[in-house]
Amino acid sequence: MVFWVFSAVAVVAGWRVFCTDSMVRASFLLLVSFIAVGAIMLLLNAPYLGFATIFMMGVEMMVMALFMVMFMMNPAGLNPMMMVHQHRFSIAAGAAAFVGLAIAIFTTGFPHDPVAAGRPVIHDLGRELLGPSMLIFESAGVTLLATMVASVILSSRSGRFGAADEGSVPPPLEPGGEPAGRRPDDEGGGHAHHHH
Amino acid sequence: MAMSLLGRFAARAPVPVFPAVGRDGEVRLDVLSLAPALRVVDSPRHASILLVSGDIRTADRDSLARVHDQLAHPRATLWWGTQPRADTGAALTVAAAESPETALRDLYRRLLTGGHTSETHWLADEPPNPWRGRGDHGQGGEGMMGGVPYGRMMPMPPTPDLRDGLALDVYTAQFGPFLPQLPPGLVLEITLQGDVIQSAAVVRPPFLPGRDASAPFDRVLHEATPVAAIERARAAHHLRCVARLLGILQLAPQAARCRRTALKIERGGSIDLAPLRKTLRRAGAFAAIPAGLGPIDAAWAAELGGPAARAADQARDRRETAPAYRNLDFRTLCQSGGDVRARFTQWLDEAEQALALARAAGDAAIEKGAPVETPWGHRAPPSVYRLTDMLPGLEWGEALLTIASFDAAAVCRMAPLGIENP
Amino acid sequence: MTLLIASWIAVLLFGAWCVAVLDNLALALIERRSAAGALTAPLYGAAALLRQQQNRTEAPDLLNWKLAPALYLGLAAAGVAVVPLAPGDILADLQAGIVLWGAVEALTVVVVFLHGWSANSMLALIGAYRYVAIGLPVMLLSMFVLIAAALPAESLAVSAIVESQRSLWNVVRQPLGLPLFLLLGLSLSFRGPFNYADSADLAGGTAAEVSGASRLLWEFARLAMLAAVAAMASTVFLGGYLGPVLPGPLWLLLKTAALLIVLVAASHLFARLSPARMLTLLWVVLLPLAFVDLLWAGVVAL
Repeated sequence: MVFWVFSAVAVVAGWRVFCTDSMVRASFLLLVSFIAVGAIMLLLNAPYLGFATIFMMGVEMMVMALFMVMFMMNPAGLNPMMMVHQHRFSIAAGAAAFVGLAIAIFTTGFPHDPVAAGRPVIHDLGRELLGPSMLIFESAGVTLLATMVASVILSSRSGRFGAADEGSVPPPLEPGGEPAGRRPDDEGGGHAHHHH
Repeated sequence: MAMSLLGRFAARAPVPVFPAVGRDGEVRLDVLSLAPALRVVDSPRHASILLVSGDIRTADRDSLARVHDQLAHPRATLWWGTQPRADTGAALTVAAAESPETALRDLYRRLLTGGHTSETHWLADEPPNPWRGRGDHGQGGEGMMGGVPYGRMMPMPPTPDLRDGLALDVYTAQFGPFLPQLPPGLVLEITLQGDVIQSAAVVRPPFLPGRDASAPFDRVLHEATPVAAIERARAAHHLRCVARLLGILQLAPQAARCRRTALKIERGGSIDLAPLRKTLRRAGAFAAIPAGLGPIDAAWAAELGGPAARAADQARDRRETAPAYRNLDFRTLCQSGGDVRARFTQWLDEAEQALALARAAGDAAIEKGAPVETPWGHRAPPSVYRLTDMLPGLEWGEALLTIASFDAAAVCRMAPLGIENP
Repeated sequence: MTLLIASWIAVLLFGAWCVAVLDNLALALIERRSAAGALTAPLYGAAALLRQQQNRTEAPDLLNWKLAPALYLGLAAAGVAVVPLAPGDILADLQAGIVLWGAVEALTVVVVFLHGWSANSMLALIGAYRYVAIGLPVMLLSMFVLIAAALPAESLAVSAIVESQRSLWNVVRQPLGLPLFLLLGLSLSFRGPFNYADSADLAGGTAAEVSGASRLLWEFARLAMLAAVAAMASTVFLGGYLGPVLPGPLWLLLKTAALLIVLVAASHLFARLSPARMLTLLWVVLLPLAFVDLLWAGVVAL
């Protein structure tokens, strides 16, 4: 029963991610979905993994929401916007992922016996993570860190070779139209003065 | 029954008051805020009573109505030393010379027990800018980012590199004239990137420090005034300025202590400022003000005059040559930094010195009409140096510290209206 | 079990009231005025907020705005639930109790952000962003410290961590741990030098637009969260219910009260740095210190 409630929450929240009109709401709906998954892990007698999922996802979704609001042109993410794009590609990617995961579920042999009551699951998990799986675990961690550092470097305006947006022109509001906003050339010295 | 019990309990809480400070309403509010039966709050949402202290400019009436409508029910307005709005019917007023403390308590009790009906909106309850979004999600048009909601360009305009090269989208809003963290009357239109100020412009200037014939610095124009009274008034003024800075540094009890000390000094108490100073140093008040924040150079300092100039190493003080100070061993105090921290230190130093002078002065007096060093700088004319030029690139709290580090006269001269930035 | 639930609710209510009273006393002491009525003031203040109407801003995210205070209180309650009152008397005796506490810290950052963001108001939003920037590194720091405290116990269960302190309290074993963890307490309930969410320069920050019962719940949750941190700190670093002569729960109460006095004093005695300088301090000084604490604990455990 509890399992079904959490599963429903996870699925519905995951679906709502794509229906909402704000990046912040989308991030935290995804967080709700992950928390429900974490709760299911707790039900499966995986306390460390369950809490760690909730804990890590809390931080990750927070950072993701913040970075999206920062890098997208939407003040604070409260201006409504459409959260879906590249429809055909995403439908194809979604279908492929669903089929792949479904096949994986049906071909994997899951254990049927419940975990013994007194078994030190966290101890066993630690042995596994820092033993045979150490290489995968660590390389995934380092890759994620490198990605984060690289994305900040790429999105920063000041770089080794001067301002990153030098000579760039903002996109037009209509196809083929005038570039929107102020152009860097108009500014003279990069100081924005306020005119009434 | 339960409701009335709750009401009676609530009436015993300190009265939550949001002050809307008009002309000359600030000092008496500082004094009132020390009353234990009141709590002066920072946001109109936290208040039950709007206390209008001092005359409101015509231009500020709309802002006042907007603030009033943000108070949660049950709410009421008390007009302190000013004429109420014409359309408010039976408005409650208190004369400027009286303390509204009992009136506020009484009004609050009647509000909670149903003896006074809650005030209705002064403005129509509608958004100041109608929503003009189009599309499935109101995103304003086709595509992911939509078109131009609120008539605003969605693609990010090029922005100056203010902090770390990560450009954020900008947000423009007007702040003031009743924001407690800004000088009363000042309205700034500020464009922010996150919490960093990108540009600022003056919409309405702050109020000049008023003329009050009973205050020592104005009394000396009409009659001979004791040096002790002048110096006490100076110390009290400086301590109130220090209190404003401390509030922004999240040191509310220390700020209240400064205000309390200022009041005691005005009432003739003999106060040693050394313990207060020690408390502030231990609280890290000096260290919490970033070094080099809000610097002014020599020419700028010379134009402002007063403690702000002396904090930038300009040893100019009328008291050096004044005959009344000749026997008092007066020595001009200076700081070398010229930044916010230096002005903060200068106020404390001068307050301490003023109290020492007041003690030593005995019954020495300044003659009628003699030039006297005021606690603020020159009052006129508008300066070529602009407050709005200091703010870009500062974080919100640092910007407030910078503004609060100047006395009212200096802010007035640096934030005049109607003159474009050069 | 009923007794445990009752004491759990009592800890939250009584803890919050204690913090409010201590706050009043500290303010009176610093301002040098009389502290008359400090005991009853929190109750009258609560009644005043209950009599106030709940307001609305223009186009808020109403669901998140109304939910945030309740979620915040729920997180404080979850934090208290893993604290053992006496040997075996623990509401939620989890194998991974410390990790649950970590989740509480992480979700607090989310909830405070949502509270500020959903009001659709400028100053509240700045408070929300600032809190994320400061709250995340403080949380990292506390994670290092908590893992260090779990090392001698060789377990992630809070009860095991208490039992591991029978010979020596963790505050002696790892002297850096307690002060760093207390910083987390100030940050989780955004008080004094760590008040970046509801600060004075933002006219109340994330709570600037909130009135009435919502505000009461929010302020109550802040007080309860501080009490939760103090209870957790006394359990992890001061041996919790361990102590001679007196019964266990009383020891826990005394230690928690002592830490609360320290926390309340710190939250009124120190000025707040600007966010950028605090961020530098956190990443450059305090995080390495927390790492040293972890290394120290590791070397000692070996």
